[in-house]
Amino acid sequence: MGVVGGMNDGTVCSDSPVSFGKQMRERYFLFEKNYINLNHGSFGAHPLPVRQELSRLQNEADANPDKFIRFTSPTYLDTCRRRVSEMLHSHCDEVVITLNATTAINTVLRNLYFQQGDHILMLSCVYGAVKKTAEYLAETTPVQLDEVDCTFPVADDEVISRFRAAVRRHSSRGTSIKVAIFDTIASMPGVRLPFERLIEECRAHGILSVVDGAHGIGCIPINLSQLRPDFFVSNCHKWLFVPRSSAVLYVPFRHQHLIRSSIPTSHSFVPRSTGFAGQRHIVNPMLLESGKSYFVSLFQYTGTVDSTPGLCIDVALRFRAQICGGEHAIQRYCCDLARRGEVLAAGILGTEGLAIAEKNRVGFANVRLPIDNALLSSPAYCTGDTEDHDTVANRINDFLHRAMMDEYNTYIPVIFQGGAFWARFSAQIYLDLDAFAYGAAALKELCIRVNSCGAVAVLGHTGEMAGSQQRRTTSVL
Amino acid sequence: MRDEHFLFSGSYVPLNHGSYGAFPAAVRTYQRSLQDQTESRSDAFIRFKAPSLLLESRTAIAGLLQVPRQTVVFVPNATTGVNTVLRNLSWADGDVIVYLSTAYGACEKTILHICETTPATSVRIDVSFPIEDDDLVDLFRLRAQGIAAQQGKRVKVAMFDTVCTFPGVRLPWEALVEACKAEGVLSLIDGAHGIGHIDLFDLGQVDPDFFTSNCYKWLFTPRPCAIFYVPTRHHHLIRTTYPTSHGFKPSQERQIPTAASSDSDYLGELFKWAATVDMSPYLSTLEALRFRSNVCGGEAAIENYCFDLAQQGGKRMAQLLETEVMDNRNAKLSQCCFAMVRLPLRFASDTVSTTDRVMDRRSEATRGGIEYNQQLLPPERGPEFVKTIMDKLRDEHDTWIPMKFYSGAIWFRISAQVYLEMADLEWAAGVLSKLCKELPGSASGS
Repeated sequence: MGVVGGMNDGTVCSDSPVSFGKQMRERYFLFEKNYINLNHGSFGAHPLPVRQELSRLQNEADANPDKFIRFTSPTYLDTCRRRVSEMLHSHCDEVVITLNATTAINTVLRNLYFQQGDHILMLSCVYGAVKKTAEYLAETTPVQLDEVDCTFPVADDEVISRFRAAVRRHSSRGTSIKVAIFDTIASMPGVRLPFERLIEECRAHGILSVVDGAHGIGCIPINLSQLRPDFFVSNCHKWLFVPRSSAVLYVPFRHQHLIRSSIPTSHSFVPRSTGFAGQRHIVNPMLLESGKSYFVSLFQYTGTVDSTPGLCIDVALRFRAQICGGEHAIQRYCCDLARRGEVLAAGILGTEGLAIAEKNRVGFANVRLPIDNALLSSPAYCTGDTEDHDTVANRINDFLHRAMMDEYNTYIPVIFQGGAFWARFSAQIYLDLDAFAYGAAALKELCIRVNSCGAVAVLGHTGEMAGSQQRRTTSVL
Repeated sequence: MRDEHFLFSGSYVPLNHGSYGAFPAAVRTYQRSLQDQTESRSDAFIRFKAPSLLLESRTAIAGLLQVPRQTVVFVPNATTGVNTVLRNLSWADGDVIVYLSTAYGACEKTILHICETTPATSVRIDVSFPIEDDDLVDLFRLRAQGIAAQQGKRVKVAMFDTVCTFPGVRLPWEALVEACKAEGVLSLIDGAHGIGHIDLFDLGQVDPDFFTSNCYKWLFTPRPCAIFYVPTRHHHLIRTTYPTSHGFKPSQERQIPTAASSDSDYLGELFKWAATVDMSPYLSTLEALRFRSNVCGGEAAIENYCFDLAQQGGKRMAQLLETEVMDNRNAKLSQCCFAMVRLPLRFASDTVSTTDRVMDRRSEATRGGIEYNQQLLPPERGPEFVKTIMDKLRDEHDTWIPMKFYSGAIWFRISAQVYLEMADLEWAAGVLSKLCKELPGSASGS
């Protein structure tokens, strides 16, 4: 698939079109020669022109930190906010840049007040850190948690139906769902959710919708003026070719009064108590420009961080438009490759892809692994009679991840859900079917070892990886 | 040192290390190599290599502070450290947070937000510098006791700086921690200007309840990078990072270590991952320490140089400007890398200003000096003059010196560093002198 163009700003000049796949990888991406990156979904990746911009910005900051942090970076920030809000079809002042989706979700949830009877409703596929945030709130505020099962595969209508059932349940009990959190695209397995309909359900029932679009911008089209969620977050460092880490937090004007403080609280916070005499003496070294709304100024500076990743948004968008042929071309390639890659990988593994409606496919291929479930109770992998399957499965996944990296120089996240092991491949413009074939072959060999209990040789009596420095968390996605 | 090792643009005179720090080329090269490794094999680096590098960096910092590694973790910045403590604590009716008027703005705002959203209330102790160390400690104890004597009130936490942001003066934070212990108050030390600035080898002995310090300020690491110290006895109070992330365990799963189970790394596991960020600044700590040791001659050498330059340089600037440095009688405030010097502008005031108090103590300099304006300036124009001068420093002289209209005069803060020399401070004094003369309202100004 050829594309045209070069970036006409002098950063990169491409005289001839660069195809997606190996050519794009060679020309523009920064991976080590033999590393096959089949896990774009976890940490993203950024191309050379963006890396150059990042270095340029960091050099500028180091040459004169005060000037950069106080004066020039806010201007760059405004440009990037404007560009990203255009892409999301929102007003510029409804969007701010934060470090990552988790911070953005924490910011929203911690600014809300929860009373006795209030509930946060989540889908079971909720991202681990978001669930933990909710759990912490349940420990420290009156809020309680509720969950809608979303084990895949599950049809959209069924998800909506279960959501409605949860609403009815609370209604009949006299409790309230204050907030519903759901993804645009679930992390593991990687599947698009009927988030548009869920937003409508929330609106119909007076529930605040907090949409975790960590996998969102750059992965699927998002039109916030049509969707009208109550809160929306998305990582730019995942699918937008922006460096780690950077995310957008969208709060429509009607809800901005709810967001009193950033986390951590910083200079732009204005305390409510006007009677506080000392207030006028609080030094605000970050000049609060007149004309900026409270919401926007709140997030212009939230403690000293490295803001340069988010400031690369403009260059990343130009790369996608000029070198890659635009959002539609990128997203279509990724979906297409994911679909064909899934078929190919399933064929190699002798299994099948996750049964989802094609409209719910994004740049992910979810393939079942041929691991014998009987192993979950086998003494080869269990340390005790009553160990639950999830714990044992995690042990197997740990082995797969480590061995994949050490022996095959790749990483494909695996999760045990719905009674089977699912591997999630991420498609991207720097990949082609060969990469999927490679990944599938690696997994096939490793599964054979798992099934023949060959993995037991690397598992100590505690079930931990022998020689491992510390337990790795498989929930880091 | 500056030209050979640091990254500043040629014309820029870096007199404000205190705000955002700076780091040498060697550290940047190392950081970039970490970033290259991350892009080259992201999952390999982030999941499998970074955790052990993080442990190494924590070990190195723990060594510098002479505390167990289990008590020290990385956070992005001291503001996050302060937020982490204050937001983890449970607040009941009657709980009071006490802090000084010199608290860093964002930290004060954090306290005010806490007071808006929990039953906690706060008391701000107005302090005017210079003040003697003993007087400050006595002032705190008196106020704390006064609050505790009120029905239903207790001082739960007191927050202090090690070295204040403005004025840039060292606080008797060790004695304040001791006073907190005597009063049964938790001490939260905002050591934003701490590690790499003042000697913290006694941190374990001083034993504050919570301590946070920016490494990107005085330790030559990239931004953002700070440490967060919590002695084991308080680990049960810190349940979550901000933001909450994978390390959080719900109460039924949480295993808080007692002192006996010393191989547990509860805090480390909690703070190992606090959402996706570029961890290369944390991981560059070792390289920063190596530079300070190998190229600069070690922490003591750096501290000696910087303190000396600040103290001698401050005096020299005061001499050139015919004003004075801010210090207390025992010369304790200046035991840091900042020099606080007054601009030669006399403002009208009917209260005893800092200027007068300091001038009363001056023994050598000409009393009354040659100020640049014969008539007294109206104090309400102080902030405007500050802005005018600072803008000109930036636009016409390619430097930045924080200053403030404080206690009836304009005081500025110079950050001494290994890449500066006396000549730089003398140059700055010349520029400031010129800018004062140019001010509208001064004798030779329009």
